[in-house]
Amino acid sequence: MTLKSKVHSYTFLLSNYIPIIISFLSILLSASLKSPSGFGMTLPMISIISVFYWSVYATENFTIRHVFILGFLSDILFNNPLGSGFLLLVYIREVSIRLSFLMPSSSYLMSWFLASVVFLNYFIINWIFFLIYYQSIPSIKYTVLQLLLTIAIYPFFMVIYSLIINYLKDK
Amino acid sequence: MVKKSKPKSSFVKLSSYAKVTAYKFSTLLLILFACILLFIDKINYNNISFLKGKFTDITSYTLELIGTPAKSVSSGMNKASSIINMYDNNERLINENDALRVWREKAKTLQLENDKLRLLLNSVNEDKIEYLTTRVISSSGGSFVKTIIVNAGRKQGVLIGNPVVNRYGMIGRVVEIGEGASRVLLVTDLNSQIPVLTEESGYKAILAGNNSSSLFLKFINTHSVLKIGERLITSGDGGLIPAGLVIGSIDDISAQKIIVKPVLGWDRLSFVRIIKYNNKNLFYPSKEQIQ
Repeated sequence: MTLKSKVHSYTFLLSNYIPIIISFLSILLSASLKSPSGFGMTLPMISIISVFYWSVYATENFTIRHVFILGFLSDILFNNPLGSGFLLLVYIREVSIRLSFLMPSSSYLMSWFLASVVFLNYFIINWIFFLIYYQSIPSIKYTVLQLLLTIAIYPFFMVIYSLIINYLKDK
Repeated sequence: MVKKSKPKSSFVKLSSYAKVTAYKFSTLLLILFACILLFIDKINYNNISFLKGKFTDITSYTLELIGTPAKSVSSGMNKASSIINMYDNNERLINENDALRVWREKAKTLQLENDKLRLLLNSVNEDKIEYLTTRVISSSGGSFVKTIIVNAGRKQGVLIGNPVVNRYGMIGRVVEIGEGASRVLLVTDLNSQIPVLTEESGYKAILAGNNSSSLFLKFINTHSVLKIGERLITSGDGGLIPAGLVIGSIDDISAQKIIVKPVLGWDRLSFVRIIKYNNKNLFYPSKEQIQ
């Protein structure tokens, strides 16, 4: 086995785990950041950005087990009820896969628009879930703020993730 | 040729069918597992809390490592900002220092007077409160849950229920502990409910959060007369939290609810202090006694 073929096989092996590794690190990084004053500790939800992006653009390399790991990690880090993160992320994954045929890889604007629709959907369901689970009405102000932050930051992650995908394709 | 390819294609079909079935089965299995976890979390939080504490411990080390570059950038920006505002800050601090000197003298006199009166009344001295300063290593960052993780746990003597304060007052309490890290539920969280007392009028109530930057008072006497700006302090009812910690001030009074503003800086936390409060006199009734 030549060095070139060895590198190629390692890259191929790694590409299967790239979505989960990148998503995992993104969530950990987002948990260690601090929001600016006045934001009420609200930060964009990196987990749904990752799940949406990889479900659409790397469906084969982003399996249900990966979603489970990310859901479990976000439940632990953000103190959500255990299991809720996975259930909501599975929903995002299934919706994203069904929408993926509408998204040509070249159209960033279309991808951003559809991501916004999916995120809005997610936040509505999440809000209803918390309403039922805690039997109390959570404030809607910061939910809307978090939704807007997530939509606003999506293009940044889209560019970073697409650069990674292109790099792996070149290899 | 045709005869040879037949078993191969049927094998491919079979394997793809097995793959699809396995995928569906694993999805169902994981969904079922998540539902069970959710159910256990709801009916018996204590079992899950232990598990969560362990995971908090594990993730806290990773979070500290990953957060180092972000913290360096943030501290660099803070330094730059303090250099820019150095002159103004110096002026403000000189004035503040003068005012504090006056207060210190007053406090000394009052402390002496208080000690003498306690002696005269033969009053019971309250236990000395011990503080533990810790660093915030992670915040939930979510709109539905308001918690932070701090780098002190069982090893440092932290207990579940210990109140957490910043320099202005109480901002939360410990809800989960690991060996070297703990989770603090902020007062603004939907699940936070703390017994409080209005400082001047002395009415008792429960201060509840709703995941926003405001809190509201529950179970307060309907005939109570309150003032906007009146401070709220912990009542110490239940014995888990010491009495007298400032927790907020009344911001708005309407027919429906009384809105309370939490203490300053509750959303800008880098370092916090845990009050190592262990009420030895706390009475836990046994099952037989309850029956």
